[in-house]
Amino acid sequence: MQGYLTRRIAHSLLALIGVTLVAFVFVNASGDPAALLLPGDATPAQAAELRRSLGLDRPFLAQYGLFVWQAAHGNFGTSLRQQLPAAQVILTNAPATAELAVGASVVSVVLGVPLGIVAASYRGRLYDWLTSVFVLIGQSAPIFWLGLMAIWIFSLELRLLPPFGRGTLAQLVLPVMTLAWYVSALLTRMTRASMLEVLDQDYIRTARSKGLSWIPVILKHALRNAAIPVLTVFGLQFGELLGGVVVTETVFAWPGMGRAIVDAIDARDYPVVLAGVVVVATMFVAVNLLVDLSYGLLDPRIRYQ
Amino acid sequence: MRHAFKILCTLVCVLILAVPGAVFSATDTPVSVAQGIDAQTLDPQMDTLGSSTAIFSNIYDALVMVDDTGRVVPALATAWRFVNDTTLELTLRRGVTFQNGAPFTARDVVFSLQRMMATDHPVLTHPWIADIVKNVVAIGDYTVRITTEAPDAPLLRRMAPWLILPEDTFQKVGAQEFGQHPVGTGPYQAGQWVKNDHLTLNAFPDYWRGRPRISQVTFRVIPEDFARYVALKTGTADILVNLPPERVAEVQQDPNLRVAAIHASRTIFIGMNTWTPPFNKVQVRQALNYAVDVDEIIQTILKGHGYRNPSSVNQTTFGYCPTLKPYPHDPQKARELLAQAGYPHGFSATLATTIGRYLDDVQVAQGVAGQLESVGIHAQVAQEEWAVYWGAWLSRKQPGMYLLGFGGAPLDADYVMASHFDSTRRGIYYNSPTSDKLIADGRRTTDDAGRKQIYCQLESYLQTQAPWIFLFDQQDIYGMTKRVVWQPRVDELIWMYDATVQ
Amino acid sequence: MVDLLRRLARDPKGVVSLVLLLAVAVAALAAPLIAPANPLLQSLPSSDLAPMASAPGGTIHWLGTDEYGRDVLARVIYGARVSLVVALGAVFLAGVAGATLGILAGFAAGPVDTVTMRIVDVQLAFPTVLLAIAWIAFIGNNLASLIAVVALSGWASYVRVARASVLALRTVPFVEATIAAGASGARIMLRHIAPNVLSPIIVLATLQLGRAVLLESTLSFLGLGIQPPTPSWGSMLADGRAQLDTAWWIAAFPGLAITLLVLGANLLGDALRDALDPRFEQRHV
Repeated sequence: MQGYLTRRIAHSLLALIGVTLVAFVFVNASGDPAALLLPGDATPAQAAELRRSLGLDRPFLAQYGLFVWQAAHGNFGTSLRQQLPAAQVILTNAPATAELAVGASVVSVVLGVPLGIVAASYRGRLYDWLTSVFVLIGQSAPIFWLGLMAIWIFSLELRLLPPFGRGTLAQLVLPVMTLAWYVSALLTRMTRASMLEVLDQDYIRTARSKGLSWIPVILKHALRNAAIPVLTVFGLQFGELLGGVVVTETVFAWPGMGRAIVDAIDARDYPVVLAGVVVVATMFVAVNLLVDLSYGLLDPRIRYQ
Repeated sequence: MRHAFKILCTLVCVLILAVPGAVFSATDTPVSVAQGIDAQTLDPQMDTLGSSTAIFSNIYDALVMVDDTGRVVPALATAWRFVNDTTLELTLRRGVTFQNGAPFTARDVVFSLQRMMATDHPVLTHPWIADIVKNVVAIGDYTVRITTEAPDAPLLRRMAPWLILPEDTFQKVGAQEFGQHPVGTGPYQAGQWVKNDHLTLNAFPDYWRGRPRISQVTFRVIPEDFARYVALKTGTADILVNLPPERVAEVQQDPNLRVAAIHASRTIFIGMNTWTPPFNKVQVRQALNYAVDVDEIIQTILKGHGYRNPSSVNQTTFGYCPTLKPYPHDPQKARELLAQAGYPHGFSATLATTIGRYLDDVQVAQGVAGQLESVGIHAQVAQEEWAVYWGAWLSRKQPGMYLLGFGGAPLDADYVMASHFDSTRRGIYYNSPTSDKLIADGRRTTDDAGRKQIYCQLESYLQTQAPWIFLFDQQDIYGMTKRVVWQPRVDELIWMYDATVQ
Repeated sequence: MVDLLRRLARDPKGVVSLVLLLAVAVAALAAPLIAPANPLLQSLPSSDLAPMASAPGGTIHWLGTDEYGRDVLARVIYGARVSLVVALGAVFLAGVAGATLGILAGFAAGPVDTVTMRIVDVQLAFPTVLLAIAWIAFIGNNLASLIAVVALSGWASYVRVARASVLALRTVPFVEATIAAGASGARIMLRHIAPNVLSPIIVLATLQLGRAVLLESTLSFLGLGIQPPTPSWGSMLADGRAQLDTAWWIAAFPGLAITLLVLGANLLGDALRDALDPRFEQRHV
């Protein structure tokens, strides 16, 4: 187990470095932050002066090298726009994003898995059909669309919930539900499919025909088997979730990291972009590591590979 | 299982319904302004975005202000005179205190201006003062002398955005801390700032003009148009900046809301790289102006929310020449001119545009391209993200036509000349000895009447030379709840001092 | 192949999905013939007309018009072209590249495998939307770029699936025997491994189709997608979002089209999974 863990962590570190290199290349080579910072009447000479003063005219590798060196010491440089440490810019926004991501993850599991189980148990009946509609909408409607519809219905027409901002529980509802829908839909589908497979098994049919109450049967056997594919999907989808966070934060004016990173990309504020990418990638890698570890727990065969 | 599911449903429903928007009860005093972008820092010399400067005007003051008739009026300076044609002496207001109690004196003015002038690690507002002001000195506590490199008639208007910082406080806490917890002389103090969410401003009771009527103003950041609109409709935002024209009718019909529109200081135009063929021929440039039907663009794309402008100078700016006549829409004449220039069958060129930076920018570019098509000019519309667009523009790499907006402070004709036509400053896509001379004259001449005459000559010349396709001035549209009494400003500042709530 | 189609025809999911996808394909291919109007034609007097309303000129717009007076039905039909090109192009690109890499990684093992999987890790750890924004900022905004971005965001799953199949197959006795008998790697890959990898890859591809269209729409929402005035379902959805409460049809119909496409693709994926399942006969007798 320990060897497995160390290997996985080493791999994750490599992935992180790769991610930062790609981000660095893209952001740095595609626009000039100095020109973007200055007012609209600045001359090319003034832009060059600012570039020099910010150290942006040094060779590419030198800049990246400096970044890696500083990052290893926890220093991600200073945001070109906000005059604050880039790490601080990202981390002050991190709790808001974590709130959304965790909330959506929890809701998607709490909503998606039971829905899948119910749908499988009542295959072909009303519940199943309603669940299919729920799944279809979740999978075919882009997140920004769901969010805007939610704002329209709940904020404008019904005046039930606030359309933007963060602070109260009421403000959390719409963004989390919007973000969770896609992953719930996926989890529902997967759970339903797994459950159907399990329910089809002879031993289940036998138990049911014998009159044994099937709830404990399902919970004990079916869930166990359904868990692994569900976990896989969850781990993979976490990346999508993080992507969806960006859109959700924009639609609901949620002050999170996703928006901060996108704004930084638009402004070519590369210290913030890199800090953000590192944090997000780390979150993703951590979640996947947890998922992998729980595989080991759930399925002993994997542990001994 | 059925049971559990039902309970779960009920719980969720109860949760949603039992936590209603207490947010919706209209709070009496605080007024909210909704914009799309947040300020980057509250240090006014390190953030030049329009949405940020709109906020700064509440926290800080400058030496002078420009009123809505375009006149320069006293602010932190009560009087001024030109000692000679390169030295301006200003008498400062007495009894003004900063929001932390520190007294305002000439040293603060010197400090603020010198910080802008520094060339080592320049601040972002350095271009506003660079190569204009030679030095600034304090004479006693309430007099300041500013010396310019050369006689500079627009100087007073230039000074309107130069916000004054408290020297002692700034030196004590340092730039980074100051940017998070600013101190100014303005009507409002910065309160809670949750980045990308909101900034709360609280009235400064000892403000030198007198305490502001509204005790608290909150600037909210709502990037999505629809959400901003919903905020206005539900009353959670009182003032909405940049109301889309499509919403104007609806907002006007709503009994709780109203629309306020103002002729903006921003001009939208299509410039050209006049060093590259075919734009190096004046007949081609004129042909383009004859070919475009600006009135149709304003009517159909902007739904009438625009002001046709035949000149390169914005109509709200000092120096705009009111006697200029626009190019008539004459496709026939356009074709003749093209033939004269050697392009009887038209030509192909790029028309670069930004995406969403200016209202309907892409649609205007498409509309113009469509009109040019009818005289044989195939304009390939290239949509570029701002960072890419601006980087190319500033390096003189925009190859053909480009759609751009220009405006804001200072409200002086010299501003656009410096930024687009003066070869000694930033006339990188067009310049000529004739226009250079007129620009220099306009800048040097001190009496207003004389300046206006020179600018009329200059604008007429530029109109004939047609380095731009002259289009229109923007109209800024604001949506407001009826309880707020506030007038929009030409310079796009959201100055809340004289706003009231009824 | 024929066998597969027959199996699909017996499954109601298969039939419905094929019908839906066929409808979309027909719309895309025959657009100039079926569309009632020119999707790019602007007509300001007819702007924002509700479905079934008639314009001043007398023409009836079955699905209404948008803010520039363009016929929504025509734009939905033509939009099928762009949306399909992007989705199919991206899925094909990602599928071929991903599957090939996955097979190579699984078969060659060793350093090739390790390096490939590390690159996969990098791509998976990079949030899709941010990758798209950065890529388009870097490369530029055009159709090819868009297809590349959507492909780039999805290829990793194919690698994993293909590799997993190969790893599972390697230990199967007949493959081991073939290797022992000295058959060349390429021959083994082509004749034995590839066909077996094909089925999960195809199932994955159908599921990714919907995702591709959604990503295209999200990119349009962020201002990075298909450039106007070219209609695509995704960009119509994004453009119509400012008029949700007043002119709902501008976004509703392309949204419906996307839903039908996703429904069709998902059903096809499920049906294919069933059809390729050796226990098919058991269930569909």
